[in-house]
Amino acid sequence: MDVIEIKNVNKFYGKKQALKNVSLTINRGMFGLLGRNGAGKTTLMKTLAALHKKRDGSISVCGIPIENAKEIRAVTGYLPQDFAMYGGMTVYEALDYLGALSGMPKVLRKERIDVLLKRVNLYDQRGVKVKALSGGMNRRMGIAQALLHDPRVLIVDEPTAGLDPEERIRFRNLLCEVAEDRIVILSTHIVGDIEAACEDIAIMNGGEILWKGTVSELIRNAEGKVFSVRVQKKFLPQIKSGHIVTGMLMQGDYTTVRMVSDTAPDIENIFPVEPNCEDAYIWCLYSNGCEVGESNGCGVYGSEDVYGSAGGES
Amino acid sequence: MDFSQAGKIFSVNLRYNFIQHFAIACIVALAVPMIFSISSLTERGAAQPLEYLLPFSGMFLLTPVFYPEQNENIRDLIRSKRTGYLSVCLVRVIYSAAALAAVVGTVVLAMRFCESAVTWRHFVGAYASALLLGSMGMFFAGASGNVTAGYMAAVIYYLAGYAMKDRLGAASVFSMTLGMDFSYKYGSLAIAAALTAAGFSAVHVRNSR
Amino acid sequence: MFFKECKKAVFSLTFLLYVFVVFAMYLTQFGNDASSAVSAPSPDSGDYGFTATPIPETLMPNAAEGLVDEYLAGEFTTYPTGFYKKVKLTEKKKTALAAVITELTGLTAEELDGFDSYEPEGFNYTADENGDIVLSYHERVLPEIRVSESLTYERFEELMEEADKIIGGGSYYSKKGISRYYSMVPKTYEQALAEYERLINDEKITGAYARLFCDYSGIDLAVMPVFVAAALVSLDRKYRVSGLIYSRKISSARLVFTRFAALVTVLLIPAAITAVMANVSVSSRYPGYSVDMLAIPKLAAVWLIPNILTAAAVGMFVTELSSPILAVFVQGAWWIASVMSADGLTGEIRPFTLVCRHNSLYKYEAFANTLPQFIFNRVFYTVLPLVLVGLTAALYELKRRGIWNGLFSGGKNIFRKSAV
Repeated sequence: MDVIEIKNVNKFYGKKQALKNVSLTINRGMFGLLGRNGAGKTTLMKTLAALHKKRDGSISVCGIPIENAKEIRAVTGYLPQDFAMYGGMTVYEALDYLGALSGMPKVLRKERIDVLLKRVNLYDQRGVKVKALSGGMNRRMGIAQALLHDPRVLIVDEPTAGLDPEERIRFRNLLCEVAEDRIVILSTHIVGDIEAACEDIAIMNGGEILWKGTVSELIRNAEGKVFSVRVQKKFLPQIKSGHIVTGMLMQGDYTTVRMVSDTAPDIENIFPVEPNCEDAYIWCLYSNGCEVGESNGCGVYGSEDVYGSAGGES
Repeated sequence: MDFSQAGKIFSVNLRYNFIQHFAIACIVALAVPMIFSISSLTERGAAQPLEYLLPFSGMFLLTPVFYPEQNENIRDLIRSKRTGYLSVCLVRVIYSAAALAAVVGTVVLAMRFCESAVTWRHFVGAYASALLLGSMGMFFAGASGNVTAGYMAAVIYYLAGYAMKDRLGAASVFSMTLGMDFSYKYGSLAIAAALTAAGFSAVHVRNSR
Repeated sequence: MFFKECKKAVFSLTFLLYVFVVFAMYLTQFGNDASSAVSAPSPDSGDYGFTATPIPETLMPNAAEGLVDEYLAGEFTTYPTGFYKKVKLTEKKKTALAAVITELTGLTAEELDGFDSYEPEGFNYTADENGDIVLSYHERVLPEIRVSESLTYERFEELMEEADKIIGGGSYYSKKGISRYYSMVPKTYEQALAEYERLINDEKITGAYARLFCDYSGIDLAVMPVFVAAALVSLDRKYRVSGLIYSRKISSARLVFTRFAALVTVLLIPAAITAVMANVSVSSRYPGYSVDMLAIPKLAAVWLIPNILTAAAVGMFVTELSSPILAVFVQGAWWIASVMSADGLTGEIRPFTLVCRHNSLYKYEAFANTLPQFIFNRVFYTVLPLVLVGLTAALYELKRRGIWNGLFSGGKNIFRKSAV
């Protein structure tokens, strides 16, 4: 019974409510949690991994109530935002230790580590120190450790942040393979990840589930709400201040602007276009009453993120 | 936790999360004969090197019990595994306390070798003082989530004990030097155990917010 | 940026503990010593305390008696590192010491060991006819001691030094011990009056109290900042903000120096408050006198800021280099060594003493004699921390570029080298 049931979950950090009445059902396959930084994705994932306690509501993971932390941890694998290990541990040593913490016997550990390292393409790096791995290798190593005890649920927090496009695609593909026979929950603030990998998604904002459904439903919702227009550059500031712009393409003195709107904006030569996933996400935020616009830097275009530039410098 | 698993936790932690702390504790122990002379001391006089300096060995060994997971990512990673996080910390307490006994025992034996009037009571007393200071550091480090605050609290506790003399009773690190009854040392051991338990509870509470 | 860093430092547990220590030390140490005004010596009291002036005629027999006393008791009191320590001698050392006593007094080893009626000074408890316990003092019983007539004071000093060496240092027969225990003579009224007048007139009262204040405050300020600094830097790692900070465009040097400036500013506040409190409280004890209202804060600025700078810089540097634990250890060890190596609490300021002491309202001359060393010392401990902060900035830059991860820091540091 591979299913996660979340019912009316609330959680507080002090007085601040981090999760508001969250209800979700998650089935086998890839499940995407989308939202801005600070939307509550990490909190929800940590709660599912039994790292944080909820205040009320109920959660069951594969039929196990979340209160039973030890059994929950036996069936879940968790990859934190930044995978790090002690001192000068090598890849193999770290996996061996983490496997022991999962209660795996020595023989099984040895067997599984070799299989997984080959699968994530790190077998040649097994003697390398964890801290010397590149960003992409580090994430693959993180997946290997999370899969070590063959969990039925895999929880990965922002796994693509800081990866270059090639590594990101490779990593997504790896996750898709893994998701064939288990639940994989992936959080991200990058729409592209969701579009490429997930069937079911939930969009979070301010600790609440704003919307849940499939990617195609999300896109369908935005049909007829996305428009495109070619304007002179000098009108750009005006358009940006009055509309929700989801994309721009500069072409000499002219710019093609994509925007979402309930009804066609009053601009000459504007025409409706097919929504893409990013448009649909922004539309979803907007139509559910969220502030959307450049001013709050909602970061949906954000393939550039702070960790990315740090990792890239080396 | 079965036997081989416990062995793995011991060996990995000894290798990666112990040696530097043990090295500092050993340096503290080596400083004892440099600052105090350890030869030909009377029974009362022998208490001084054991209680003035050696407790810092305990502080350096026990305070960092939660330190390897001060980084939230490592902590979440370790906690996401089936073995309870606090069991891993307990393993560290066990080997740190054993290493501390070895350090204290070595110093006491060295004093005995140098014709000082030391007995098993000196060993138990010095060990109790070191555990007391160490568990104080451990408690504050656990409660605050910051190892530095743990050391600071331990140092302040040490200075307060120095200033308050026997008014601290069994909570004093210096009861042998002050000539207090030896039974106070059992009280010190009990307080150290209570502080350790309190430190673990504090970490548990902080983790399960 | 500066105020953000200040805020970060202020709202930390270590800073709270720091404030607690600074005020607790102030109240229990200086506050205690300065709780009442010093009054002028009265010409007919006859008791003005003591001053160290060696007078060989009385000094030599007294020291010899003391040495024989301890020899016969078989125990020697010493303060080798400032801590009291009783020493028992091995047979070999005992023989060596007996030879010194023989040259000093003519008493041979056989005579000494054959002296059966030795008794240390002490108290007798006897019951009187009502059964009440009566306490009576009795003098020590020693063989008759006559210092050899041919013994010069120079040779006497050499012998004392040898005795001190045999005992293991820090005994009553060391240079310091001789001066402190056998050279004390009562001060004359004139000496006492001169000291008092210097305090009231030349130093405007607070000038002298300033040294006492700095003496006490300097002790805790030379170690406590290391905790706040180490916690601040390690907090960075703990909350993964390194990732954010490392990638910002601000230069390493500016970042590290701004952080250091913010930290020092915050650390100065409680110290400055106690300095002002000290001045106000001292002046209130001397109503009607002319009191310098700024003497304590002024001297404190010169005397104490270098302590804060040094401890904070070591905290930042070693934490960045390796770990907060090592930072605490390094500064703690240096501090203990510095505090314990001060074998006198006045007139002992050397060019590289971290913790400068002057535990007296008087003895201005002793301080004045070491003034050049003191000034050099304080300048040194202002420049050294700045150099350390510069090095910290360099380390930071290396980490930022991912060239280096820090000693032993390994996986705890989220910054990794690029792929191998």
